[in-house]
Amino acid sequence: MKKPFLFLKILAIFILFFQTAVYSQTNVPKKKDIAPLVPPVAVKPVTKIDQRGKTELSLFGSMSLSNQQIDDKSIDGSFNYIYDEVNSNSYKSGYTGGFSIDRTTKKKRHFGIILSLNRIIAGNNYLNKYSVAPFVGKFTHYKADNQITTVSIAAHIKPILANGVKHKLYLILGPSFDYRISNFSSHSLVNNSGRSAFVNGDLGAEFDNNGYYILFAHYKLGQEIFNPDIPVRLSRFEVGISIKAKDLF
Amino acid sequence: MKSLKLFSFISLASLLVLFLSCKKDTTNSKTDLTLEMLADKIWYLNYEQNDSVTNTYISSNAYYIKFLKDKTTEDSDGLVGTYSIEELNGKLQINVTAKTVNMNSITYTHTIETIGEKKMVLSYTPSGQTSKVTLFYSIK
Repeated sequence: MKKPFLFLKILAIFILFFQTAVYSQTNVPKKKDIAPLVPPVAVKPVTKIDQRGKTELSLFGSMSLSNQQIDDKSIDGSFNYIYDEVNSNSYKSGYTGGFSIDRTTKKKRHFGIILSLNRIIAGNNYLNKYSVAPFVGKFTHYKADNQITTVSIAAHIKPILANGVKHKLYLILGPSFDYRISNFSSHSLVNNSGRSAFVNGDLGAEFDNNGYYILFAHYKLGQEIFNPDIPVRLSRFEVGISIKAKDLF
Repeated sequence: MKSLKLFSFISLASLLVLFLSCKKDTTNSKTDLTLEMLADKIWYLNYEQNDSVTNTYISSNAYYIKFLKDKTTEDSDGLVGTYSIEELNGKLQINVTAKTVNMNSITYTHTIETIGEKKMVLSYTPSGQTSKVTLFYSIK
C-alpha cells in the first residue's frame, strides 16, 4: 500500500518540478526577446507649429578677433602719427553677446535674426605711409580708434550642409549692420563725420549638437559707411556658443 | 498676427532712425586736438629749412619753445606771453603775443604744417621775403 503511494508522491513532485522548469524557461523571455526587432516609429500629430514652422529664441556669447584696414589718403596732413607706434597689423580679441531668433519654415528652410552688443578691439593696418623729411621715419595722418562698442543686427540664411540624426551643420550667409555707440577719441573725431557704422557681409558655419547647444564660427567683412574720406574696412572672426533660451530659463 | 508684425517693424524702424540721427559734434575738433598735442611740452628745434638750405640743430638745442595748457608760452630767447590756435582757410595757425626780455611787445603767427604727439612742423614767411621758412620741432 505504501509503495504505490510513494510512487505517486515522487511522480507528483517530478511533474511539479518539470512543469515549473518548463514554465520558467518558456514564459520568462530573454532580454533579446524583449527588445523589438524594429524600433517603434513615433507618429507625431501634425500641429499648428508644424504647419507654420518653428521659431526659437537663443542667447549667445562669443570671442572675436578683429583687424581694421585704414586708408587715410584723402585727408589733409595737419596731423601726424609715427607709423610704427600706431600700426600693429594684427588681430586683437574682443567679445560679443546677444540673442538670436531662429526660424524654420514649414518648407524646412532656416533663417536667423541676430541682435548683439559687440566690444570690438582691433589691430590697425594703415595702408599709407608718409614722410616728413628731414625727420627720419614714416607717419600716418589719422589715428583710428581701435576699441569701440557697437550694437548690431544681422539677418542670415542657414542652408543645411550636413544633417545627421543628432547633429546638424549649417552654412551661414547674410548681411549685418554695426552701429557705433561708444565715444570718439579726439584723434578720430578730426576728419570724422561724428558717427560711425559698418555694413558687413557674414559667412560662417554653425554646428547644432542635438539641440543642446550650437557652436558657431563667423567671419564678417565690414565697410565704414559714414566717413567716405577715411574708408575703414573691418574684418572679424567670431567663435562662440548659442543656447536656447527655454533651456536656460 | 499682422498687427504684431507691423508693430515690430515700426519699432525696429524707429530704433534705427533714432540711432542713425545721433551725431557727435565735430566743431572745433581740429583746434582741440592741436591744443592737446601741443600743450604741456617743450618743443626743440631740430631743423630749419629756407629754400633748399637745411640747418641742423639736433645736438645743440639752439632753440626751444614751451606751450602750456593755460595758453601761456615762453621760449629760450626769453620771450614770454600767450598763444592761441585757430583754423584759417583750412590751415591751423599758432598766434603768439609776447614780450621780449627788454619788455618789447612782439606778435607773430606760424602756420602748422603738421603736428603730432612728438613731431611738429611750423612755417612762416619773413616780412619782405617770398620764400617760406620751415621749422621742424620735436620733443625729447
